[in-house]
Amino acid sequence: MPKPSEPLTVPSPGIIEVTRPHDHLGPVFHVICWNDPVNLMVYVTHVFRKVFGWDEARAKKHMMEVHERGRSVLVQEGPEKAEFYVHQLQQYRLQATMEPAE
Amino acid sequence: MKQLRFRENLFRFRLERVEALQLKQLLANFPFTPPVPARISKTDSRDEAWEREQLLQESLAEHRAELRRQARALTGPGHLMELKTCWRLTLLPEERELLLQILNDIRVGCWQALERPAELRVPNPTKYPRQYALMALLHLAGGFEHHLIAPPGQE
Repeated sequence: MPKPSEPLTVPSPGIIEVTRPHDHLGPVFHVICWNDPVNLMVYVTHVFRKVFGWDEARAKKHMMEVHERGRSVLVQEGPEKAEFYVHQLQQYRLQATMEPAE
Repeated sequence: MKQLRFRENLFRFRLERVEALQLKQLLANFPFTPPVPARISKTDSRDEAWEREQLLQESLAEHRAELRRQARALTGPGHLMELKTCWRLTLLPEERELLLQILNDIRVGCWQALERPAELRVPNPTKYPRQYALMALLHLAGGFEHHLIAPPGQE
């Protein structure tokens, strides 16, 4: 069994090495923010920066994706962390959910 | 209202008298709307998702109760002070976040009470007094949010 920080595959020539964090060995979830007409764009950007620690450009990119496409996948995480982020986002009253990543 | 500066880990805002009174009223009467059931997922119907949703509901209810307690404190003399010609609001970074959450709870709560309209137009106050009051609150809370986030010097 590999340690949490080790890759799950043995490196070999010509094969792309795939690594996954230990937390992601179980089911993986997308944390999604959905568009609505009530949350201010500047507020959504601010919340993304606070919750994920992103810089302005990254937070704005996701905010615009929510605004223009109706939703944005913010992060992909294991169940506990995804749930934590949904709680954080909903405390700010953003429309956020966690959806199983197929 | 405008942010004066962020120094020594404190945000300082300048408010006109009418703004200070509006903010006090908003916070004194928080929450204006009942809580709305929150969803954890749109597609996951497994038992775990149902359990997660129950936890989310409980966590949000506790958080809202805490916001209600904080709402009174945030307009206390340690935070909102009357000066000679204006008012000053002083907040720690975490207090600014709480105030933003309170204001956005008001904003989103009013929107939900209005049955989630796609456009945020202010209705005729004589014909639709209840809707007018909710929409006015929604916009007032949004205005304060904007000022709390805007960088120093911007009104």
